[in-house]
Amino acid sequence: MPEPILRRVATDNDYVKKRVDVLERWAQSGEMEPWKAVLMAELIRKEGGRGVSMTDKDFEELFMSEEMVEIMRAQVDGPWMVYVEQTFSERSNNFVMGFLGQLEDAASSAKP
Amino acid sequence: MRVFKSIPPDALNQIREQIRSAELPTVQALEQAALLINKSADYQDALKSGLVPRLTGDDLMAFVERVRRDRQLVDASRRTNDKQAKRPSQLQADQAEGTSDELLSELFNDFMHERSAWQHMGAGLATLGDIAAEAIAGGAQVTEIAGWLRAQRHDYAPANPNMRDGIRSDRSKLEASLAA
Repeated sequence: MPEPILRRVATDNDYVKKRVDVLERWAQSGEMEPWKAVLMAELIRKEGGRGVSMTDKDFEELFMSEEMVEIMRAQVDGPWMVYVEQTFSERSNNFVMGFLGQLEDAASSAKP
Repeated sequence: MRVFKSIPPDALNQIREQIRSAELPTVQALEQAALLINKSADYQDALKSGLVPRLTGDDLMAFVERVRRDRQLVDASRRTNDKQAKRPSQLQADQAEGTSDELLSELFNDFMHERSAWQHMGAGLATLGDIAAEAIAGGAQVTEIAGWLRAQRHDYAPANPNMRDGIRSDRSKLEASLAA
């Protein structure tokens, strides 16, 4: 019996358990890269049975949480830090975009 | 300015000189600089290895707030000085000539020179920031540069929507297998 890859949490409800079971099978059989299975399991756990979301914000919150990144990294090796860096960069980029937009608006409204 | 090992040593300096001498339109010269940096192995390696230093949104937000505050202070001070020194008709004439645009250029220049912010955003952007700041100091329009930077940032932002789309697609597969 191979060692499980995905963690189980005592507070997981049936909705989460069912999906984590399938993901575990896929990760063990090679049908899905293990790190992707871990990531999806944590996203599903984050939903907590409230239905499918997986919005950009869900991904961002996961990768911006040092605790969650450590939890995922402890389960399996993966490009975790690459996605952490990308999330930081993307968030910073969004702030800068907003700022540039304000500068452009202000500059164009300053013209008669 | 950071020197990229994989970029021909004089290439960026040549572009800066072209901007200074107005040999090339500013935006065109900046595009050339962006192409050089974008292709450089250093920058690509930094992105791939995750070595590009991180900047938190909070860091940047604090900086943006500081710029806003500075801008308000400078603006208020300038209005006070103008009122004391000029008649209303002169004030209107100044505004029509783009006094506010000059102020924005100054602030945008400061923004470009905020070394830590640009370096955090990525080494390539730090170089572009330097070049763009020089272009503005040399008379390029702030709106022109802002528009160009907007396009560049879109290309440089190393977000990876493909990963997310892949996970979403796998999720649909997972739900389908449970429903079967």
